[in-house]
Amino acid sequence: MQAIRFCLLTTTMLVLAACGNDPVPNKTGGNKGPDVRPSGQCKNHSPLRHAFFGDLHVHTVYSLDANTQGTITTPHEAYRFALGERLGVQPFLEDGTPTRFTQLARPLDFAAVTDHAELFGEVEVCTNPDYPEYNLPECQFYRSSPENAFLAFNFVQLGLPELPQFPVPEGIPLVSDQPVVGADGKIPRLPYCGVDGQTCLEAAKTPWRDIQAAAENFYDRSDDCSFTTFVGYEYTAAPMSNNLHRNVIFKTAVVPELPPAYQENPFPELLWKTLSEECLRDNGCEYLTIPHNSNLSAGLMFETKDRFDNPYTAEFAATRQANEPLAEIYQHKGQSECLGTTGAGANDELCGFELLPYNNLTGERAGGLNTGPPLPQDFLREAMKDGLKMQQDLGVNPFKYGLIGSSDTHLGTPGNVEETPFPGHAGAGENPADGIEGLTDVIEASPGGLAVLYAEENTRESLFDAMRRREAYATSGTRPIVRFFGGWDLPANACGRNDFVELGYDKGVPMGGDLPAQPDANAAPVFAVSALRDPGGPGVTAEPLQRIQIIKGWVDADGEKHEEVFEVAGDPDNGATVDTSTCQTSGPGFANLCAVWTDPGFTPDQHAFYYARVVENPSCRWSTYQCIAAGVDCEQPETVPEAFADCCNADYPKTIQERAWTSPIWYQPPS
Amino acid sequence: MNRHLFRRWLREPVLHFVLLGTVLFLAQSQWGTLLVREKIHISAEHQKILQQRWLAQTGRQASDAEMAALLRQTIDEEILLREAHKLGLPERDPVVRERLIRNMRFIEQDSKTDEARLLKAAISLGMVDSDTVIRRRLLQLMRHRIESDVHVAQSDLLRHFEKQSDNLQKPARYSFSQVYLKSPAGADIEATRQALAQGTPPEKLGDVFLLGQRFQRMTRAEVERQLGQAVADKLMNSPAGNWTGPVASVYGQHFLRLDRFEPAQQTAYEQAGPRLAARLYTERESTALRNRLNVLRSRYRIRIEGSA
Repeated sequence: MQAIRFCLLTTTMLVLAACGNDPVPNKTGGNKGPDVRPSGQCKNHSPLRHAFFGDLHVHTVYSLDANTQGTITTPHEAYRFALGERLGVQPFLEDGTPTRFTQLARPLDFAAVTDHAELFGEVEVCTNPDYPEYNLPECQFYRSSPENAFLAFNFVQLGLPELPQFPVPEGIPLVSDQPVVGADGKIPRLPYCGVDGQTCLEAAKTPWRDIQAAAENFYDRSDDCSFTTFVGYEYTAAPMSNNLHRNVIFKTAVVPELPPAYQENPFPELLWKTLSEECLRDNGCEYLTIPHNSNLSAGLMFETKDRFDNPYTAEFAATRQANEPLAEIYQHKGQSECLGTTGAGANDELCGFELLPYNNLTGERAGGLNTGPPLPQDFLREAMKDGLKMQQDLGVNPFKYGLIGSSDTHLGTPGNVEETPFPGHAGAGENPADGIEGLTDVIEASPGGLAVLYAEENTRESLFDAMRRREAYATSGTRPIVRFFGGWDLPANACGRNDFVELGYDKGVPMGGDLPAQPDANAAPVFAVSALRDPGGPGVTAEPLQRIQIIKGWVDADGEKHEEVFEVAGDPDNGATVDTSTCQTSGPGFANLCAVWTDPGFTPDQHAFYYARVVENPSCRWSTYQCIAAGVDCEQPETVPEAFADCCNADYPKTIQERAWTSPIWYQPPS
Repeated sequence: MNRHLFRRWLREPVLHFVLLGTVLFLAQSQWGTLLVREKIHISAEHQKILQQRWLAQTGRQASDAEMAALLRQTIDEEILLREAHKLGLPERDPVVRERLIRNMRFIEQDSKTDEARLLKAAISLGMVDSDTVIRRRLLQLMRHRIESDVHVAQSDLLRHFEKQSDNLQKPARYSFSQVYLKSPAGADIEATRQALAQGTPPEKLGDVFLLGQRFQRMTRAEVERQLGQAVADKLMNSPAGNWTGPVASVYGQHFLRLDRFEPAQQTAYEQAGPRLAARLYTERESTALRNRLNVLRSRYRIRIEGSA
């Protein structure tokens, strides 16, 4: 017994000591080892890579736009929700008892809490000379030695009651080199570790530190590798309500002392500059930024000029590409794939999916003022064609995006993207209401989607590398498995072979990759795409697949942009339907679909991209489920309660076709 | 003691001083807080706004219990805000400052006024109390100040870990093979069953399946997510080494063979400790907040219009 005790105690000491391996957030650097796990340590490791499902866009209590709507979910609780725990959401009763609960039928593999950083602001007084406190001794201390001063700063500045056990300031002898457990046996409440992993800091609870602590606590570092978190935040730039938001995702626990925010970095390029200075790879810090809701940027997100109105240079284009390998194509506030009004896209009826009718974040709140109809250049398909054009002109493509989806939940509920039950996301400035008494969100909003990453194992390293190489796809919330490869000699019988995936990697590149050079002048690129339907499960409705399309975008010698949608598998006219009075679906569909497709119009000197869109049979939209449950009868308008008036809004469809969008595969002519 | 001496003693100013002091001291300690307690007044109009907001959120009227909860929450927030003012947080917090200055710049777009004066103007306009974002920020700061007193001792955590260790298992892992048949035709199933019984290698049988024929070290949850509940159930109840099935899924039919089973294991403290600690902190923080509010509430005189 004594021995067991000792063992447990030793383990505890080790656990606490283990934070010595997690370097402190630090923007001034130092000789810290990166927080890296060697690949292959996980039980579920596979060299052929698994599809991991997650959500990289989550707001909690620390986003004031969530909090002002009553969200009190903390980052810790958000991660618990992602793991499958039941969570109470607003409205709340006496002493915080929730009136509603929500729970994932299928837990996530990974998640990142990305609160708006603009209102964190704890140590700004020390870094901004405009503040009178700037010259206080503790601020000077902070700037000269942030690691050690952080504590003094917090406790003096914020007036917290007592000095904790950690860190042991410089000059004070340590009992060992790991000041792990305090004299009174207290545990550091938020373990952070100092320079060289020598010093653990007990940080005061601030939003940014709490976000990091939650990510640390819920990241499974065991060989089960069951769940991965990322430290992240949202950079909230929206001049005149035109959305330039980005989620910033960090690879490791090494992150800047404060997240670079919009106030100090009013343009995305300034954000990248600051991040490149404060998040140094040599210190183990790596990051990427993910733009979202370009559909609401009123033409700004994919402008083909910089902030001084100068056209892109090759260098600037390279900076953008290096910082932003991914874009969020779908979320709570609509899709950003295609508007479907220009060029060949005008015939793409699937562009009507979850299309918001306005072009910025003002939305319909100001009665149509300060906004307008959506603009084609705000959609990724158009932007990626512009990118090809710039690649042709400059040699670099600034808009070379892989695609993910996420939720943008403002209830702290990552992955809550099923059409039913949908408690709302509170992201449109509307408080979600009790499902029985009214629609739980504004009619144009939707539950949002998921990010899917192909990685060897479920670790930060493996997933982050997948993001970097764009081996990712987006779904509209369901979970089909999709593989997409491109190459020059993928065999025509690939679909009939058990080694489809091995072949794909061996003879081609996966989604997000670049086609290698054309092997001979007559060769045309071949694409192999295979999809398995979402199997559904208890509490999850899922439809079979209807078809797979490949969408090609290209630029001709005159710089003209083109696009074409090819039907490559399945049957668009399979006759699958939905009874919109019951949400009962009927008609045939496919459990799996596969195709090997060669581009019939390939021209070797044209820049091009190809991505696959996997489309499911139609099913009810979230609002239709709720309208049916409420017994709304649009034939008798006088009986429809006001809270359900939008059930009869003919501008919004009753059904949707859930889908997946793969990251494109890129072709570049020899220069 | 003679009477004369007693009278003289009664007239002694020192005695009067002491008695008076005692009375005043008792009065002060008994009713003192009552005399200096600040007032919080929840007007009928304010209550109406609360009701309307609830109606807008939930689509129905608040019950008596719900209304009481709303009032309690309103009062608690008001108390925390007043305490924030007493601590000078609106002037000191950078986020509040910035917000106030931004508000003023919005109002006086062309103003060249410096920030210090804008800040002063914003405060005198009552923006600290009227701006929702600022109110939320101050509430958050106050909550964090109160919660920062909470600690979880190592011994506590260890005790919780020992108590919950049964619930903290690392899941069992299943390595298995499958032969997948797309169509449910009886003849195919029978032929496959016989071939497997005769020892035909699975690679030579069945239809192509994107996830392959071999699955390594999967948890039950993973099997269920990829192949459905029925396949997971079958696999969990199969002896290792033998082909069983077929089992139907949304994809078709699956013959299954469990190749290796790794039983569930006790979760190591390294893994469970931090999450347990986070949970304990969350629980204790909300208790600390509740306790602190109970103390603070007694320092205010609270009047709710229309109630006794």
